[in-house]
Amino acid sequence: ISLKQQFILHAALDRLEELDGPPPGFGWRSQGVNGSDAMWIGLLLPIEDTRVYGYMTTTKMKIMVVVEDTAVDPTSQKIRESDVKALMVEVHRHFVEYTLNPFNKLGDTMIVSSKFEEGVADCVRRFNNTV
Amino acid sequence: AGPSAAVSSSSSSSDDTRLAHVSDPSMEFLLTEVLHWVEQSCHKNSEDEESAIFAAEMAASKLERMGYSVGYRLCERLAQNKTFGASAAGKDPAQAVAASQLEAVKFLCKEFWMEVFRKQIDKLQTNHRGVFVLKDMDLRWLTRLPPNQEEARVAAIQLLAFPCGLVRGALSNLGIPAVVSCDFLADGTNMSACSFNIKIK
Repeated sequence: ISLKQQFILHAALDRLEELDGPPPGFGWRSQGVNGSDAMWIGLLLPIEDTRVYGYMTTTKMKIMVVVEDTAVDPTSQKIRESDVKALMVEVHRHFVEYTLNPFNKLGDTMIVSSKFEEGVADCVRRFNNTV
Repeated sequence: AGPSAAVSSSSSSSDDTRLAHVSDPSMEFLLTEVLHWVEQSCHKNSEDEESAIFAAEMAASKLERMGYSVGYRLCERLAQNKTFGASAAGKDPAQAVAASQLEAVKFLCKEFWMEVFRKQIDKLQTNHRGVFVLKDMDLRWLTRLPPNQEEARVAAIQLLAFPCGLVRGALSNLGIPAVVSCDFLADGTNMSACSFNIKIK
């Protein structure tokens, strides 16, 4: 993961935390939304030639997706965003399955799991193929 | 103990054949065995009372840590599609935080407890300042203890370290650090009543 990408991710994370707001958090959420709709934050940061989308679970786990900005008109962008959302729900699912394994460390450590990595790579591949 | 021809403890409908079932007796045997193992692995070295107390505390905290790990991970799964309602708009920050904590504890009392013990918490009390008391009058894992025996009482109190850990783990994953202790409320015949005290840090 390149330095430029790290920079973009950190900037997006800052924006995410801004949107989250003071405790109890989840400041971007509108009333009465449930489930994965409530966890979806949306566009965090359009930067250079990419757009970063965010997602945060009830257990404060954050997922950020960096997408190459190719879509020109709003409708195709909307379609892309729903695809990104689906991608994030899948990644969330993989994360939950990773966490359930009692041999995996909890908390803020790096996830070392071929199953997780393959699962996420698969999701990304599927997303890229539906462009 | 041999394999148990056991009753499944799944609470969901029987149409879904892919749902995994857990055998109640197996779970209880496992817990008993864990209790023994934890005691043995923290066996006191010398014969004086102080090291006996220390060994007991070490055993209890080991069991509690196990509970923490299980509670934390289970919470991740159970909260996968859940959102905690209460909008923070228009409330002052302290109230919003208290409201979200209450939501989390209610989730614990209902969904979480239902998943682990197939029933909900019987009584929830709070002082709205970060202290919660959860009472379960019939904890599943304690129902088979013989009434009115001192040994059973001691075992029950030791075993309760695990559910304490479950609660602490689940809350921790929801971003709420807390200290959880429990009281054994048994009155002789009913050996399965207990209360959990949550104090949010």
